[in-house]
Amino acid sequence: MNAESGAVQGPRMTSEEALKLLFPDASVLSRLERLRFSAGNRIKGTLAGKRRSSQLGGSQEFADYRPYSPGDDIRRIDWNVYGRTGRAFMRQYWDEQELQAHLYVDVSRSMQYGEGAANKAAYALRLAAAVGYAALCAEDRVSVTLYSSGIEESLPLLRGRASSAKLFQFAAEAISERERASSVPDSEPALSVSNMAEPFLKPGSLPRRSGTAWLFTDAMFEEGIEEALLAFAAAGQKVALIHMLSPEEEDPTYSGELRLIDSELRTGKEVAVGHRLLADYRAAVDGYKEELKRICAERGVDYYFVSTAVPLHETISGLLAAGLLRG
Amino acid sequence: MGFLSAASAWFALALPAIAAMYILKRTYENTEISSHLLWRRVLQEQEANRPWQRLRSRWLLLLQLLATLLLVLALMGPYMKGASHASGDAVLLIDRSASMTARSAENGGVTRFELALRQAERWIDEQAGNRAITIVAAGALPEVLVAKESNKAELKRQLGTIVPFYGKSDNAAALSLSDSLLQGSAEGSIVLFTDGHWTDAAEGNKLGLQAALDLHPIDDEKPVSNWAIIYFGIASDPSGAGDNTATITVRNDSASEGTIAVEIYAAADGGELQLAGEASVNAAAGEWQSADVGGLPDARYYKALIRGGDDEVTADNAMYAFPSVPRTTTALLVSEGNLFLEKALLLAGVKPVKISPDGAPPSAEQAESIDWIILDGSIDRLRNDKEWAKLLTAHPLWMIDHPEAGDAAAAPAHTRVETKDHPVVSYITFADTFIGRFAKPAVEEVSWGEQVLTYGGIPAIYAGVSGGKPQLRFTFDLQNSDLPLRPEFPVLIVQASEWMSGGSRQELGSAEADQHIELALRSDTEQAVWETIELAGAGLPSEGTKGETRIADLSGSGQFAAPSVPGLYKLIERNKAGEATAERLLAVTANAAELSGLHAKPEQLNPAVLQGEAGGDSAANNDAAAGRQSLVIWAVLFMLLVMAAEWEVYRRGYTS
Repeated sequence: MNAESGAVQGPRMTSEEALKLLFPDASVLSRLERLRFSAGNRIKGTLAGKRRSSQLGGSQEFADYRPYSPGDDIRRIDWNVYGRTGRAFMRQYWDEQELQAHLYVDVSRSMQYGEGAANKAAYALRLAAAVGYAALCAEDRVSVTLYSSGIEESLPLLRGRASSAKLFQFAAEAISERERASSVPDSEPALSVSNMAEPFLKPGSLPRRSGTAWLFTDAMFEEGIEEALLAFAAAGQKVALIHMLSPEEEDPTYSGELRLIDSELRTGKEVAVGHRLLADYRAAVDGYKEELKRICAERGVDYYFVSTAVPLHETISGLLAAGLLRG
Repeated sequence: MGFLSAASAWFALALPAIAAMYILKRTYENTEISSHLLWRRVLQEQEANRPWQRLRSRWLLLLQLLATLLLVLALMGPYMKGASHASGDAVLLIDRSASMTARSAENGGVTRFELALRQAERWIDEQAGNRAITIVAAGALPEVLVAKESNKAELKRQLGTIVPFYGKSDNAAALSLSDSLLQGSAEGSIVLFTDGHWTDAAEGNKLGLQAALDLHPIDDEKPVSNWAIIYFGIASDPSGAGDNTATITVRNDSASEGTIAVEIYAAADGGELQLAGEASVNAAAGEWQSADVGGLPDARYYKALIRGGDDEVTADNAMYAFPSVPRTTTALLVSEGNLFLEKALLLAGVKPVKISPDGAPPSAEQAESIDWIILDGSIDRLRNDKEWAKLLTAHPLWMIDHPEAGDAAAAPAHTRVETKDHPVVSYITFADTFIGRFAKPAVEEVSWGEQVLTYGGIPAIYAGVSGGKPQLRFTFDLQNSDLPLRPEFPVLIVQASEWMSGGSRQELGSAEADQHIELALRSDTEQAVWETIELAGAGLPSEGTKGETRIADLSGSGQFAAPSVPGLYKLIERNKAGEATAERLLAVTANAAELSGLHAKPEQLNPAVLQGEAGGDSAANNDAAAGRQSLVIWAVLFMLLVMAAEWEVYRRGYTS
């Protein structure tokens, strides 16, 4: 917490402070170095990388034969086949390219919810920094975008492990900035964000090249979830929806007569909370998760639920087990 | 709709208490959550109720108040007086005997009779609309006011026409009539409103009724305290000095000894009542006591009135009395000398003023004091004299012929006497009387009267009224017969004097209400009218007012019904020309038997009902209870509904 308050003071924090803020337990980093994204075949980078691209190219991995046509590079003719059949066939190899991973973190007001480490936005940024670090270690390119009703802030594509400091600093500053903002009592009634697709329909908000996109969100949107997922798919992204809920949202411990205030709409709702109502609420939460899972499955989107009560390293293990990350 | 326990309305004070609690209620704790998205799934139908959001804040309060209101209502024990399920015809029998006029302070000064009418009206309201109801009023003879009527307005109108009956009621007959009216109606019932004071309760109980009897006791048949005048008489002063004495006997029918004031009023001829004497009478409970009041002036009639005491019946508080002997009358005897007649007149209380037919008629001053005139002979001569004729036509005239032997005289063929039923000749036989000669006046001369006595086929006495004045004519000379020596002579003269006095001064005395009285009217009377001088009944508006007149029914031969409300009445007779020819006073009293013994518990009225084995009384009570439907269960059910609605509002959080 000292590190955090220190970070609030200065305009920029040092990389060490950022690292401390993001990963109080640094041991998780060494584990992340061995992981990489499972990205399917949508790898279309600009530079050669460690990933097998869906395009054919100059890697050592054989892909296919095709008949020779004039103008082809004769170095790629398979002379053994020519010797056996008298016809010239070209050997084709897979291209190996880098993966572009885009991390979209929802920083809307509802994400500010949760105490300390369980704060959803902070947890999402930490998790994004963790998977981003893993991607950088795997020679992939990583970008981080913060959005609420529009794109708030974005970190351009980073490459190489050396860029991790930049990534950490971006994430740490975002965390401390949100904390500062939330400590100020409700400044202005925030714009109501009820459509998830809204920020992604603006030009330039989606990645130009196909790759993988992770959405860190609590999915507290009235509408637009399907639309947003569709927009990402159309941009050639393999999408993963990381659904985050704080423990208080998942299993509230309220009791008595309460006036529940929506953090985004600022409207109140007076409720007499009882056991039955809480049970109904838990059922509603489970129902919503199921609904999201179904929506994602219908569109080939990976869905993963994260409770912010779960420690970060366990979440990473979970992502690994779910196949979103690979060892 | 009524309430069994109206006092429970005090619980309604809980309503403002609840409202106060709402005002003081703790506000909701503000709790910020990320989004309503998930909560809304739990608290459904939020959007659908948006127009009602403003109301929501009050819903819990309003519903709670409503629930409490219903609870209070349930505590008050509401019930609905449903239409009675009794079917079949009904006979409404109203006891209107004099005892029903008792009014107690507990009932707000309303008579039992009025209470009975009110209860009867309520009873009619409770009946099904198509039930045929007959109303019977008890009385000397039971009277069917309206038969098989189902129009409630008409029934009530008929109820309003019933007045108390002060004569002797034949309630058993009314009960019997009611029962026979229901003959053939399987489920008919008699609905009887009575105070239970029946003089003929024993007779009523002997009746075997076919129909069920629904007995409605009025005023719980409580004992009635009463003071009554049972006797009031006037003893005239023989000396004529105007010092008359009244004797009053008063009975105390209350539970305790008490003292009451007795006031005696005297009314001079045509004058107002004036207080003439007072006395105070003390009587023990159930005892009677007499008092004398002396020094009363001469008057046409006297009134005794009792005041104070524990007295709930007013119909027997006043009594009227007339002087026992009428004042002396003066007759002008125009005779050359008739000692027998003179003495007989004196015996009859008539003061004869003797005058010779040869002399001049008496002066106007003298004529003033003359009530009537006896012409003993010289009839035609005096009639033709101008001055005499004037006097003769102005007064009642008693003519006595002095027949001389000749054309105008006749001798009787035999001595058989025939008399008519006439006051002048009652008790008169003319037995052993010899009359030698009779005058035979022309027919037109005696057209004013009738032959009330014939002797040997010849009219001997004519009696009648001429020009509103009594007339008599004896067609024989008293001195030429041996009649004055007979014992019936003074009787004849007394009766003749009374006839000449014309009854105009003779009062009718007293009679019970609605009693049939015999009275002789003048022969030229075309119409007789009862004028109310004073009323002494219960004072109900339906009993009429002072000064009103009612035409008497003359169809009965000599039998007239007395007015039905106690009081003092004047019978005014009118001739063809509408002139009042006579007026006599009648004091009407309530039947004493109906008003005595009111303090004692009345005999239980319980006639045998042949049809209903269980007894009509208890069946009727069950019927009354069944008509009362409790609404408590509905109030409670409705309250539970409201509370369920309130819980739903609470659960859905429609409170902000």
